[in-house]
Amino acid sequence: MAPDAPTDTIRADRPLMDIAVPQSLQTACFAFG
Amino acid sequence: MGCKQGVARTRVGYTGGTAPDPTYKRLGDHTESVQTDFDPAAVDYRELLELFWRSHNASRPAWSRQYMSAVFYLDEEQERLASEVKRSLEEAAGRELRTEILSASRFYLAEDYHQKYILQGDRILGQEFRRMYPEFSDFVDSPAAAKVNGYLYGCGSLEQVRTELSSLGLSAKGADHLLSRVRRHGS
Repeated sequence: MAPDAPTDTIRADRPLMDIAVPQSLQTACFAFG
Repeated sequence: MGCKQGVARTRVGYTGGTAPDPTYKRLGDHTESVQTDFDPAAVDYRELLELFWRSHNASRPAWSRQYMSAVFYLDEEQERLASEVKRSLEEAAGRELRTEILSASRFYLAEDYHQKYILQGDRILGQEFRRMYPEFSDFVDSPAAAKVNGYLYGCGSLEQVRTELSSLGLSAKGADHLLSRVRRHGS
């Protein structure tokens, strides 16, 4: 469990990768033709 | 793009046009596109641009607005980098890239059956993710689902899959199945 993650967003049955998502994400958008 | 290190989420959808509420069958003037959320501490935007241009042939003319090559930038820095990388690839290849570099507008999520398409169609892994994520929107937003979908497409190495396997939430059967699919792509 990520130490600083809010507990109400954590479900034990979720993949570890989904629990440890960084907070400061940026968005990009592409069209591949 | 989903299995690229540092890419957390992927969504497919429609953007760039003016028609309200586009759908696959009523796309109007929108373009089919992929939106990604990435961790700038793990991957920078320039790397995503390079991956984008490596992943498709942008030197042929677009079939249509629906299927054109485009970068939709979200800020001035993305616009600057997209123009810079495009110009440098054009100089290196000695040919023009037909990619449009456009300001991002509203992104409309595509229909459910388009999201994580190959993962949804995988009998074993699709079922495991459906069990983990009864809510479809949670499935779409799942970084693990984005990774597995990318691996099933043939992106990423066996070594990368092995490193990340324990964090993907799969059963032993699901993990074995994924490894065998990735081995098949590599052979």
